[in-house]
Amino acid sequence: MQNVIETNGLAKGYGRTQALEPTTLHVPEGAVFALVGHNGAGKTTLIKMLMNILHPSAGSATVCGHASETLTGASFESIGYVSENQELPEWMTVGEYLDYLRPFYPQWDSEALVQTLDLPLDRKLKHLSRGMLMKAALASVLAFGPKLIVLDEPFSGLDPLVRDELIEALIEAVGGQDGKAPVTVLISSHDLAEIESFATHIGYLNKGRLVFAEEMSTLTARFREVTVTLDGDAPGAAIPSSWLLVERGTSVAKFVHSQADTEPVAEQVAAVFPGSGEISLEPMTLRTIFLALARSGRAPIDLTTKEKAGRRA
Amino acid sequence: MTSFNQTLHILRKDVRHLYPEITVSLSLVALFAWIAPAVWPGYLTKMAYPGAQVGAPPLMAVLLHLLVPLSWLILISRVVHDESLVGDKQFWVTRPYTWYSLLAAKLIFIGGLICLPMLAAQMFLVHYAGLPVLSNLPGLLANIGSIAVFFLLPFTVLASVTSSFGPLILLILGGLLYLGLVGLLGTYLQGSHAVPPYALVGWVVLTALILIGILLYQYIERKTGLSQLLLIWTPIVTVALLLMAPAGILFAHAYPEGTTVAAKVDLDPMQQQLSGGGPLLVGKNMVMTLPLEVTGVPDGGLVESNALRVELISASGFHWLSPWQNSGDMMRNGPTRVDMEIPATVVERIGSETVKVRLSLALEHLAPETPVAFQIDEADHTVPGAGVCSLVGEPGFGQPVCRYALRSPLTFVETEVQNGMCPLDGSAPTTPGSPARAGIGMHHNVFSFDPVQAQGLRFEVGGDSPEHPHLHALCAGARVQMRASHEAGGEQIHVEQTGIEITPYLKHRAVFSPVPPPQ
Repeated sequence: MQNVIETNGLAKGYGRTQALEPTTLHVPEGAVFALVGHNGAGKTTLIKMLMNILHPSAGSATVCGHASETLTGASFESIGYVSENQELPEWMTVGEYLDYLRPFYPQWDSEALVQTLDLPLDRKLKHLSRGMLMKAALASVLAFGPKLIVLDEPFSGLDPLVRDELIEALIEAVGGQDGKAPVTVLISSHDLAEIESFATHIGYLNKGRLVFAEEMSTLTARFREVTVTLDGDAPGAAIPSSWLLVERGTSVAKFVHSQADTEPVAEQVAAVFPGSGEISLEPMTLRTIFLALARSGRAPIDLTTKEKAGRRA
Repeated sequence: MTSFNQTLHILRKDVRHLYPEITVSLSLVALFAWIAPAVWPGYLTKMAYPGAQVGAPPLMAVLLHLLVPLSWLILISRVVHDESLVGDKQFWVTRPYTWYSLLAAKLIFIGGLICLPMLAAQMFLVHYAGLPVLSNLPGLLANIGSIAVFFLLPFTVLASVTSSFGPLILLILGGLLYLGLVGLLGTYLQGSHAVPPYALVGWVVLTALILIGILLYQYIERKTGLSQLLLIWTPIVTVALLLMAPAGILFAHAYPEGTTVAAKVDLDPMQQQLSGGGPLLVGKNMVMTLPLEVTGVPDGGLVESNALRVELISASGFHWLSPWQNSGDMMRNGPTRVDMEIPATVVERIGSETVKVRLSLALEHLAPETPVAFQIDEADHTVPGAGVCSLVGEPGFGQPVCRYALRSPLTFVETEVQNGMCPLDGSAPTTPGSPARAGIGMHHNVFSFDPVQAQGLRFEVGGDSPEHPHLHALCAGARVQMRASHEAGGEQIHVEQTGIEITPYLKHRAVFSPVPPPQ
């Protein structure tokens, strides 16, 4: 599948502060790629470099086949960008804003969006609530049917109802119509719950470093919360590296398996806990996976290690 | 959407958004057009301005010279900052804007809502002064161009590297301080050196080109830090280039070797300076005043010495050549004096020796035009230099006023004036008048908000003394003769004199008259 976004060692520094370490990332066409991480992890910096708003200190990126630093006005006829702290022409009403943007694009359809999102056309942008402002901003992007939608913390500080409305509108846009090229979405968020329902890929940034990036289905398939009933405390084999947060009681042991889809879980359990009984494997939510990773201080795939290994090979 | 349509689309948005600022700016320009004549001689009473008794209109006219450009600054700030180039949060940077459509929209806005109204106001003023508008249009357009270069372009560039009006004002204040310091340094380094011909025009053109370059760069790349750095370096680089201008080549081109005018040093000892007080020091230089006898100036013409250069060669072989120095003496045929600065160290070195002096003078000819005579009254009479003159005011109290568009030539006026009042009904006086003269100075501003050069004529009659000035009246019907002079090219002449000592020709701080002994 063709990548809509590719970065190669993309980095940004401000003097001695490194906002984003060299980052290599691929976002395939049609993906809903969620970029997650704490505030200040480098999500916005990465996105702004992709949108040619900031200039990288090192590395390069291509967006929709064009080098990010060559993105010009014409490129944004097929790229929609919404940010939580974007400065909009607040003196305009919602209707004026949409009318103003309409001639810039070859195609435009905002009527359905206005109805779906229940936008007040005659109200000035500066008088809108935060949720309504984000809805207006999203409508102004979805209206021209972009091939790539980039959303920087769009749901930050929104109440659940508005958030759901925005997600619904987004899912509808991504679903698209028959015959149309699939829409790719890059969305940043520091709230895992809000992107779990619709993201197809996930990348995790921590302190300016991309810790991992992979398909959501792979990630959730790999992680299982394992509970083992113990019978005796005979010493067994060493704990595999794919096991996280191992807790052993007198009658039960619990751990998180990070490679449950590829490794022989039952055999590993039998080796580590000889004479063990029942084994229960429970799927995990994105939140519990990240909590496990954070508590264990480990990442499922350390990209930097992987890259180094690749280079050595 | 085509680029042109995008430009118009952005322009329409700006006009709709900024109509309050536009209204204020246009009102101020309209007010300026109405009130500017208040400072023209005689027009304060003619226009019957409200508040004229307390001098409000002239004050307002002066104030508008500040308010109008301030309104332009605000308007430019608002229109440029509407799509700010500074920062990373603006909505428009991720929309299908093209930099050239955006820049074109801003420039059309500035041209259409600042330049055009000002041009219209200036055309109105020219027309109101009784001057032809159409023939003065090229000059007015050039004047608007100068206003654009000196005000609008710097305002636009500064707005493009700031995010809002507050930082813009701070940058302007800081920039003025910085320019003042660079100017002081430049003046210090320039010393008494004359600015070569073409150099100032070249400096303005170069500075304008650099500013245009920075504006384009900022609109194309939006790299504010680098643009600001370029702005900081621009005054230093351009002033340095100005100081390094090849004066010899430029003076030789503007003032080719000529033979029309001749001059020689007047060796009459009576022409030497009296040695009262110590030698005058200008910085580390002494001033030598050389008496000259000038010949060859065409009849009725004048010659202005714009710059000079002096070369001294002593009997002992010491040689010193000065840079081109500022001068500014008007010369006719006959005796005259020219001042030149010589370093004190040079005077100390060769002051007691006889030297060979070689003086080069850069002269500008002012050729007389055919005199024009007319009978002055309230009607406008065309005078040399494409101006008009008339009596302005109530019959019997009219003041002779001449108006020109943008530039006035050096003009000598001859007429007959009454020592008393003119007849109150505006008729010609019955008593013979006294011959009187007046002059109109040569003015040519680089730019001017008010394009009308209005000059009231102040006549002098033979026998008048500065201590006891007489009030002379020019009455309707008086015959006035005006003779203007126009610039007729430059030439460079050389004066050479051997065997003179410098010391007797040094200028002194003061010439003290001997104090009479006590009775």
